[in-house]
Amino acid sequence: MSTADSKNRHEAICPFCALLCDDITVRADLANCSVEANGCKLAESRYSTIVKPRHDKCYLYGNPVDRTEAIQTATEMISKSRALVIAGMLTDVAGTRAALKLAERKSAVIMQFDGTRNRLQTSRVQRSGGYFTTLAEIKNRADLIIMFGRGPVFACPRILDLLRPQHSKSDSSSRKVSFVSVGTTNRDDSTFMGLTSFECNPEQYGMLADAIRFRVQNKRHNSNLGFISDEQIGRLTGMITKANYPVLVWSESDFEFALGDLAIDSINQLIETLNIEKRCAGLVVSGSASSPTVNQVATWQFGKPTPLSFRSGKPNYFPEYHSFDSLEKRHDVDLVLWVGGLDEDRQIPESTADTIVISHSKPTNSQLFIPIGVPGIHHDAHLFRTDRVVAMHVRHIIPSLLPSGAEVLTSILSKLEPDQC
Amino acid sequence: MLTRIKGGKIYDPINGIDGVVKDLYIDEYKIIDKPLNGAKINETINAEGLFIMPGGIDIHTHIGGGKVNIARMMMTEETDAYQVAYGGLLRSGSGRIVPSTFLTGYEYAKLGYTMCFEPAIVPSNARQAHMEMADTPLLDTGGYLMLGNDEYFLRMMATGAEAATIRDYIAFMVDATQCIGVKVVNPGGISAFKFNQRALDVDEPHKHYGVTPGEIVRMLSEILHDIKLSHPLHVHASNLGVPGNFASTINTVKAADGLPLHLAHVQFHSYGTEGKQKFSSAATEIANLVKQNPQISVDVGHVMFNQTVTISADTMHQFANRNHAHPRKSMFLDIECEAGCGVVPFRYRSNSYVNALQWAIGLELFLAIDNPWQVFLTTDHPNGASFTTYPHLIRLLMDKGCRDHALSTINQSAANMSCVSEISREYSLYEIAIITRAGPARSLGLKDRGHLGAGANADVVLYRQNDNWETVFANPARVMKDGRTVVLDGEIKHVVAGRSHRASLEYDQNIKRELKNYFEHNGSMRLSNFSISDDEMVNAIGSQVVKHTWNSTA
Repeated sequence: MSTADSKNRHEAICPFCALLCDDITVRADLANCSVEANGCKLAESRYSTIVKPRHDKCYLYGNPVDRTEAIQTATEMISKSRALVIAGMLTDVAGTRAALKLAERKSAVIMQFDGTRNRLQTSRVQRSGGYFTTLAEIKNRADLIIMFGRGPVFACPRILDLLRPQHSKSDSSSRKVSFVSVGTTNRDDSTFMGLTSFECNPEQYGMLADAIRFRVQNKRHNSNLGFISDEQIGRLTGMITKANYPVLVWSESDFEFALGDLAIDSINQLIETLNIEKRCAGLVVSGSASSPTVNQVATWQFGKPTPLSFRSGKPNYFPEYHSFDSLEKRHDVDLVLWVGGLDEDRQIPESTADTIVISHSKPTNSQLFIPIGVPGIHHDAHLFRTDRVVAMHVRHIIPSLLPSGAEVLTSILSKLEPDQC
Repeated sequence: MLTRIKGGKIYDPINGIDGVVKDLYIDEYKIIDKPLNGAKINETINAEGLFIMPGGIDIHTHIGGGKVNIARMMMTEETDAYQVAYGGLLRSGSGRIVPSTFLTGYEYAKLGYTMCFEPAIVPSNARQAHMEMADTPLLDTGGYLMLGNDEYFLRMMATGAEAATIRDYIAFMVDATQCIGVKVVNPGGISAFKFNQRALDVDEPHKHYGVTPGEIVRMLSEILHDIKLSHPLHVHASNLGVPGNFASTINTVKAADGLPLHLAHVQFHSYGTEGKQKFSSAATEIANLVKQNPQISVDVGHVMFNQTVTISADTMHQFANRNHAHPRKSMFLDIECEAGCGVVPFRYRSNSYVNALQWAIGLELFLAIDNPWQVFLTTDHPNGASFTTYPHLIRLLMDKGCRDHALSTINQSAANMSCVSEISREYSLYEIAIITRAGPARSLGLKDRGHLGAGANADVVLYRQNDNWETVFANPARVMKDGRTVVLDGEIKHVVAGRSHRASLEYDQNIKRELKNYFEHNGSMRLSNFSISDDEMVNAIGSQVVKHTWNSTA
């Protein structure tokens, strides 16, 4: 291998989903980028396109401008705004710190994506708590993994691989791990091949969890659920009660239906009940690493996750009231600042207000576009993993002249007039 | 920039100064001896009528890391009820029991504290803990790494690995996580709970690894002594909160076989089983233990009557106590084959026999341990109470009249079971200076903190005299951090960033070879991505790093 070859090969941390896999090998130069080992479909697709759509120019109303002018214009637009909304937030810890500071100074509302995600699990924790686990804990001790829905695999394609034990010479464990899929599985999808599956709709997850809980507690219940036989419930209950450390895995995106919050409650109640006599835990899978990242930083700095409103000067968490749609309907948006970086296929919400976009890819619907690097690709980044415990320092693999989101936001902050403080 | 603080009465126990009126001189951010004749004094601060102490040091306070953030997220009753608006110089935030980071820094500074130590850093969560502490202004910080429930260590213990290998592992872990000390929580018990073991006493074997908590304490305390960490093993002993647990506390000290230990929040580990309720004070036994073992120190973890939230790595006992949650919610985590986490909100009530006796036991411990260098003031924030209750706690220690009155308002069965009313001791200012700054500084091996001698960092607090000690300690006249006035008459004047203090240790680099395999096969990240470098601390996490080395154990 030539020196140039080895220089272009990187043992990287993949920032494109919340697993933050750190065993992948990536080949990257200024023209091309590809995954050489341990990639997944998502990583292969993201790495292969990350270099090509290069936008190193800023655009103001479709016309190229230099970065100094773009940042000055952004500062002026933000200065004039009286109802700023910072959305997207597909960013890292540094980007979050800077965006939160700007939101606070400008009495803005700040949200992830369009402010509609992450509500169900947050609400569950705030109301009742829960019992959760982390990736290494599952990999080393779980002997039954029950996955609700396709969301976890869709969001994090390698999740099942990473949760499997890898026996080393020093590991004398003869533990076998059973995988169970609950939900509508696509039999053609190789991911689910070999898994014991129980077919049902997402709306039925909660009923199934309740039925198992009643069995565990020896309580009477209606065993005729319609979608699953009594014998199947008994079989699943048997698997759970026999396991030493069953882990239930789900993704919030599979619960976005009426009463989805109650279904999540039911799964958590099952875990709680099981822990009275044995051990059991849950894992909630996020898609973008920016979700746990932004919410961790917001919570430690202000005591609350996003969406977070600083309209009153104080941090106010009222998610239904501060979703993008809700703010639009109340005409409480006069400028949108979209902070991108990761997960660039997220749609920027339609707004009647002007939009400033700080992201890697140029969207069609913005008055002002300022290109930035991708966290963990073009600049070093801190990102949180889906278990919300591990923060990784994701080092960049492609040299870039593009600034980070944090650098752009910090420039804007430094130019705001003192009376904006 | 040369500053003179003129005419204050100095309390500086490390230098043996007990209420002596003298001038202090600060050159930039350090305290100096009297400057040379002719040196220009740029600023003179009149401290006549005031008394002066070094900046406060909290040796055990939960201010950063995953469990603290879960508590913030969960306690919406608290974060909705108490919010602070953005004010230009000061950032906004919410919460009083577990305040958000900016508020934590402001509130500590207003009480005259300039350094805080997070006592429970999970290895894989160290980055988060340091990021949170970097966002906590006005305080220098540091953390103790939680070991003793990590499976790599337990596996080494179980397989009889050589002490030298275990020593290298411990030193590497402290180094890689930027910590200044090591803590063990319910030794082996967090791990045992993962194997569904619901109780573990000091001499009882872990059901999977076969090692006992006593063996873990002995091994860790020996290694810390060997690698010359200043602060001894910081121990959250077995059986926290369990009636009769004073015996476990005594056995934990015995297990260390004469080696130094620090017993954390010892109030929660000083319970007997006397009386009708089968719950009594064993503070006298624990105070005698401290007296007989000059090599050990304790912090009290005093409780106050109010709503709080308990946050601990001790999932075994947090889970057992979940039905006492108020409000009724709780959250638990099994973490990375390293540790755990349990967050349980709790309300201490003065009319509850148990809670009232816990309150009395804390006071008994403070008052019965003669040597103030062996006891440090804490509430195990927020487990016993918020750190904002420190001024009231100080008054209880300094004012027997106040103490007796408080005793008359609590559950009288508990008051009758306590010997607090019989103790006439009142702490002096000199002793308060020991338990809130000099003692922690000495224990942690901070040579330039906790005192006001030449070479010390100019973290200085000026207090007004008042008959009410709570008023005195709640409202310092002036707080200086690094020689700069940051709080004046209760108002924050400047906001400065703190630094992160860590141990600098040497170890055989070969330990990384075996660890690399372990991380790849059993971990969820590579070893190379686990370690936090000084450069990452400064340029990405946002804290300047202060490294400490010690030639001999303190």
